[in-house]
Amino acid sequence: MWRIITWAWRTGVITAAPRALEGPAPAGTKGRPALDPERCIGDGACERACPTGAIALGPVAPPEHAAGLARRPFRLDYGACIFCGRCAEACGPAALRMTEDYALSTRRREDLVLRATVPAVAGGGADARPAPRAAEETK
Amino acid sequence: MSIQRSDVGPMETAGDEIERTGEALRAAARRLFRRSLHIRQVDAGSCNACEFEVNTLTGPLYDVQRFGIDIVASPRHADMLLVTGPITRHLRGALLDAYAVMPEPRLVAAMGVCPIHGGVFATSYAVEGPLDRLLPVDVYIPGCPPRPQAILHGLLLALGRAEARLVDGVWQPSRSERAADPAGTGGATFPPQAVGRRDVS
Repeated sequence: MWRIITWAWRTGVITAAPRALEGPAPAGTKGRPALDPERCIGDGACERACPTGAIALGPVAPPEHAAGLARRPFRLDYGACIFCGRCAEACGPAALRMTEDYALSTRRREDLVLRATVPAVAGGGADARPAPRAAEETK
Repeated sequence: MSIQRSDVGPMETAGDEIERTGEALRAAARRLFRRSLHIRQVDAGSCNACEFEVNTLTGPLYDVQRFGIDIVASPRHADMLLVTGPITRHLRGALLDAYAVMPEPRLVAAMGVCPIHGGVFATSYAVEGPLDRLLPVDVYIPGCPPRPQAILHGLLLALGRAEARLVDGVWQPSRSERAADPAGTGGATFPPQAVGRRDVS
């Protein structure tokens, strides 16, 4: 009995402080993927790797556009992302990377959607792929 | 002297008024539940990963009761419905029944990717979700599953006791980060050359 009491005394308070919400996450925590539009080449490898259809790229520009000038919209839905990290693995230029940000709660559904414009690859080789599996949009 | 249309401001539609009334009601509910929130957790076809995370909330490490939040056994006792899982056809009726017997005002939280979007179950024939097709959702807590801290952040956000970290998909600096860096030059992690974060290249 005495041993249990001294053990509990030595252990002290283990409850996490509320400010732990803002502190750094433990190593290896998978958070939201972040996009660097400067590095992105827009080849759509992330979109093909995504198991839930959270990443969607718009149509590639018609071939008459000069290479390097065409842009396509990029849409990443954090409401659909399961933080598996396959997009970051598939990304050649490391434009997508996994961060440790995990407290992603919002009051509006639209706040969970990241929109950006990224370059479109010349030739549009990624355009011939089938539609993503979770093609049904919620908004 | 007559009142002109231009004197009373722009024309308001009934939709605007309903929208404002709804927002005022939600603000009142947030104020009401600020220090005392009872949650009924409803499994609407979940894989149980989210339930494990909810279980840890009441343990000594996360201790959700110190915020005045508790998990109760019946929706009749609850202020908030915490929904996990994609809404399957079989559990849709049970979920709507649980919502119907809750006393007003009531909040709804969608926890995990499944009730928000469907996640890996999105294209299944047996899924009726996402949740915001069926019920008005007050807070979205994404993650697969969300960490207990992320759930806690979502609950405190629903009560107006925490700030949203994500607005339009862009990560916002926290209050302490803003205090350390008022100019906002390096507080956000987007674009990625932010302070205190590892870069991948």
